[in-house]
Amino acid sequence: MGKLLEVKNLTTQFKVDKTKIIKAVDNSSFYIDEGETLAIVGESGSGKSVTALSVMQLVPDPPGKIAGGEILFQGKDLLKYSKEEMRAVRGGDISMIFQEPMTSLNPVFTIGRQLTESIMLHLKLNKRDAEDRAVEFLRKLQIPDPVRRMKTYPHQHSGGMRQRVMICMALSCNPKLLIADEPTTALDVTIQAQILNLIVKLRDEEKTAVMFITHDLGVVADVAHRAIVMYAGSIMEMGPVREMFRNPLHPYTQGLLGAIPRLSTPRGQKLYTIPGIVPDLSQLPKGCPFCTRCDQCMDVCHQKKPPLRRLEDGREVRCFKIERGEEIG
Amino acid sequence: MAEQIPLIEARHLSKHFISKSHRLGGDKLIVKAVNDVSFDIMKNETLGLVGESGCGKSTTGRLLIRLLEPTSGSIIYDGRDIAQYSNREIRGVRKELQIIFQDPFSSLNPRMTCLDIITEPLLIHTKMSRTERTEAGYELLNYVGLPKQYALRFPHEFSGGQRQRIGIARALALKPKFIVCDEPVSALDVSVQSQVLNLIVKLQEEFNLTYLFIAHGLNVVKYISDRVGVMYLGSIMEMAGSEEIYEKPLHPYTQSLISAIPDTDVENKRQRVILEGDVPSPTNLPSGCPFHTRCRFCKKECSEAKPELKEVSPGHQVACLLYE
Repeated sequence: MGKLLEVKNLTTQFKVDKTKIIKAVDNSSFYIDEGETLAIVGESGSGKSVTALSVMQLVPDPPGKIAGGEILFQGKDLLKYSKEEMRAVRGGDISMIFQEPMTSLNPVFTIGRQLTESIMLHLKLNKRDAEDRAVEFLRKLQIPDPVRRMKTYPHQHSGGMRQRVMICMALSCNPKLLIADEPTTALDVTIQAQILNLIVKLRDEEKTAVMFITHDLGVVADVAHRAIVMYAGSIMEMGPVREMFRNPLHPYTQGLLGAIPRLSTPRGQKLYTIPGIVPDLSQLPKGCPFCTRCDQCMDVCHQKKPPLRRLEDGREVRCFKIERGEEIG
Repeated sequence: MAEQIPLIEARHLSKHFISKSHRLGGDKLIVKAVNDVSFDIMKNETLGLVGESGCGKSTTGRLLIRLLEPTSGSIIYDGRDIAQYSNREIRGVRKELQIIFQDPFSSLNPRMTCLDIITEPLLIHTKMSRTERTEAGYELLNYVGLPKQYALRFPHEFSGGQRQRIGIARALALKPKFIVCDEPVSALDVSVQSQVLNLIVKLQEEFNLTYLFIAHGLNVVKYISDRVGVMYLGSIMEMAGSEEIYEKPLHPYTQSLISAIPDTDVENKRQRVILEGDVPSPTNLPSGCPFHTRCRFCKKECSEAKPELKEVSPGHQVACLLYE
């Protein structure tokens, strides 16, 4: 399997006032193989959503700006694309589903019109064929009575249904990469399970690669092959989900996994806590961004930012505690 | 461990809201948020209440401390039925019944300082002087782990986790016996959630508190509760000890709810029971068992009569015809 998307040294910054610039994504590199699901995990402000928006070049500019790096999609640098070329990629080869199924559909157009618009545009089909294709996809997403649904408006549907419509819209143009930005966060657990199941099923059928952004490590364990843990704009750890969850290397990943009660956690056992709060990006500590909250912090952590290291088994980690492997940035 | 004396007994509690139809001049719609719910909360116990949005868990919590007036049924607190209390009478009891809200951003008055927020209950309910109140306020800050120098700051200067601590301090101010925790950690970042959960557990031990813990994060509820009740469309479907209900869920709804929890335990992945469809509208409840429209074991009888919550083994109650 080849690399479908390769992001190299991406830095996205935001201007917060005249003099201050914060780096929401700081020199991050990662890749997604064809047909693979990569989860990007992090808390609020970790830069996970900005990473996704940068790939789509949807970062609001100003105040945001992609300050450096390359985003290679099938070998071509998306950052060198013109606005028109990029527009053809969005919704075509790369499509995206957002967190809020309530706000990302247009309330004044029917579901059918919103679905067929992108199909007609990207697949160059006429209206009749586009409608047939939309109905076919609604059926794949197990939406009952799809022909009638085409004529309904978003407010007539529940949150789970709307998210299905969004997924349908995103997948109807055969994208090679689907970016899902917290697609189930606003939904109830049983509906979340339905939607996750659908995403996994369709991804396997259509061989779509998925970049799955979430703060919920439980969801990561369910859907992703590989995961990246981000903290304050930097990649802290990357690796296959199973290995990472079984043996987290970075103290932050260890803390996150320990802080969530598992179903097997006995009652009354004290939960592990990461002290302090997620730092303000404009007031990051000088060295490792996590050093102020880390319980394994050493002197060197306060002085410089640890490099990301690639270990023998392909996992990557940014911590001075780990001295094996080669430095990659 | 919890003593086996009930602190609060809810009996046949119902709450119906009347909402106007979407059409101008249309009929009134009745939202049946809570329907004929009965349960006990023992002294020093944590009762967890789980369910999806709109299942009536928050309404139940608010009914118990009489932030809402029940449509019917009774709430026996400490031997008295507070369901029928007038507003004046309820004030006397309110001291002992407090709540921690979900959203730490909207539940604190942005124009009051942290100290004013947490001592306001003392101003209303006690005859303490200003200096006594301030002193009590500092003590409360200490209990919830906020530094003294934060006392005069305003809510916007705090992070979500710190605000939730202020909310907890305010709930503790009057030394209550019972606290409704209405999704206290849902709005917080993962790394901060465990700090607040540990605090809630610690305070329970220190002050002998009784909790009703409402949440949709089922792993959190399991971790914190002695017993767990599962609600669906305003009814309690199953209630049992927290280990028991997760080990041996009996009700088909509980089974699929528990199997739907995304768990970080990669070693033992469980089999999913995926539910079909959406939750029906509480304005138009299904006949019979509220869950029968989505239940994979649905029989003809299920749509005819609503099953009662019955004890099937000691401490394990379930409302399902499968276990009659």
